[in-house]
Amino acid sequence: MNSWMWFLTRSTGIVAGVLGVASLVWGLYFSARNTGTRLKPNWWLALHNFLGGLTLGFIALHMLVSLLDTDIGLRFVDLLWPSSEVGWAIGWGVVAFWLFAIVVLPSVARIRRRLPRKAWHLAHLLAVPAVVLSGVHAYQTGSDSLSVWFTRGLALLVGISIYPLTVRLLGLAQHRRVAA
Amino acid sequence: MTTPHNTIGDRPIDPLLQHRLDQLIARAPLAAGSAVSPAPRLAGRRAKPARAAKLSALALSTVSTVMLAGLFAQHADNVDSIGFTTGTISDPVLPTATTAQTTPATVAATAPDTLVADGAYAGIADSNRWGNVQVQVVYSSGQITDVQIVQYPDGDNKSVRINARALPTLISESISAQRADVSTVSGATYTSVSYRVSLQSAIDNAKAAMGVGS
Repeated sequence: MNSWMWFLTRSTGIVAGVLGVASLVWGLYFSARNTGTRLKPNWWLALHNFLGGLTLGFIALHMLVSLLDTDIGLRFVDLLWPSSEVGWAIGWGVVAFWLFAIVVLPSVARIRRRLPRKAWHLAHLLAVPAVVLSGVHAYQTGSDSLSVWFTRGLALLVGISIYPLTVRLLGLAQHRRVAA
Repeated sequence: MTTPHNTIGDRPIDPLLQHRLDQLIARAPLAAGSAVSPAPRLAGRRAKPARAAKLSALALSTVSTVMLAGLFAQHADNVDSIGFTTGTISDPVLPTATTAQTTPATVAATAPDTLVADGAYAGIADSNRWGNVQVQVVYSSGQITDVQIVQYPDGDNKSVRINARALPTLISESISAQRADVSTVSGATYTSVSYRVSLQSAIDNAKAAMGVGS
């Protein structure tokens, strides 16, 4: 049974990581107004919101399954608070979880309406360090981190994230130049 | 009733659009059989954009999770297929030493108190829930130059994979720090603890062999 928990821990972690990157990329393209003309902006926004929620859901599933895998020896408190007993490789994952929660939960419509836009935006910017830390967690903790396919996949995800981030930053710089 | 101007710029307004504009102005209900789609259906479609894409993303994520788990289960007995490396795990090639490998009198007379004679010194085999961990430390010129793994939990492929990742990290850290007290490797807590215990006993044995205090 524990073996299957281990397999599911790895698979849910990988899928959560991919979903996190996908949500980040979607959001960057949307905020850069680089969504093309084929699909409406509200389509992009709706999918971005959904992917963010799905990422948080899979992270929660990943944490639950790792808790059920008694071989790892994690306690419930270890999932919520980084501790030196289990090491910082897992601690980075815990921090990434909290960052994702701060990014996703204030974007729920009911909460967002009550937040000032600037506060919401600052919280939303934490998505980038959240994705980075989840990558660090995967590389340091993952049982697959020694595999060639894992390192290449991780490099591919990094590459996929960098292009829209660059587009977004260039757009910001151009906007500020025009405004000035 | 019609709009005052039936053109947009120089172009005439499309008749269908003209008809719709007239109805909006007059707040007239849509005629039966009208070509214009009923508003409630259009509003429903606008309220749920990207529905198909969302369902696809959910389905793809779930299927991927299950398929990956199945793939891992299928390859559980074939560790080599996923680039398994053993790092510095090896059979001991130097004799287990509780006595000095070189002439103790000569070395002790000329070396500082902390200098240990060159050679390999084994530590105790520390047991944990997954098996025994035993190491032997290799000294050269008074420095730890290598830590060899004599035994480690390898009863199942999960232990092999975890230790293949953890042990090289522990070994490199202990060589860098020149001590046994190194950080725990995440996901390999039991191995880390047993490694520290065994390595410390190996270091103690090395110093005891030279009559040097710990």
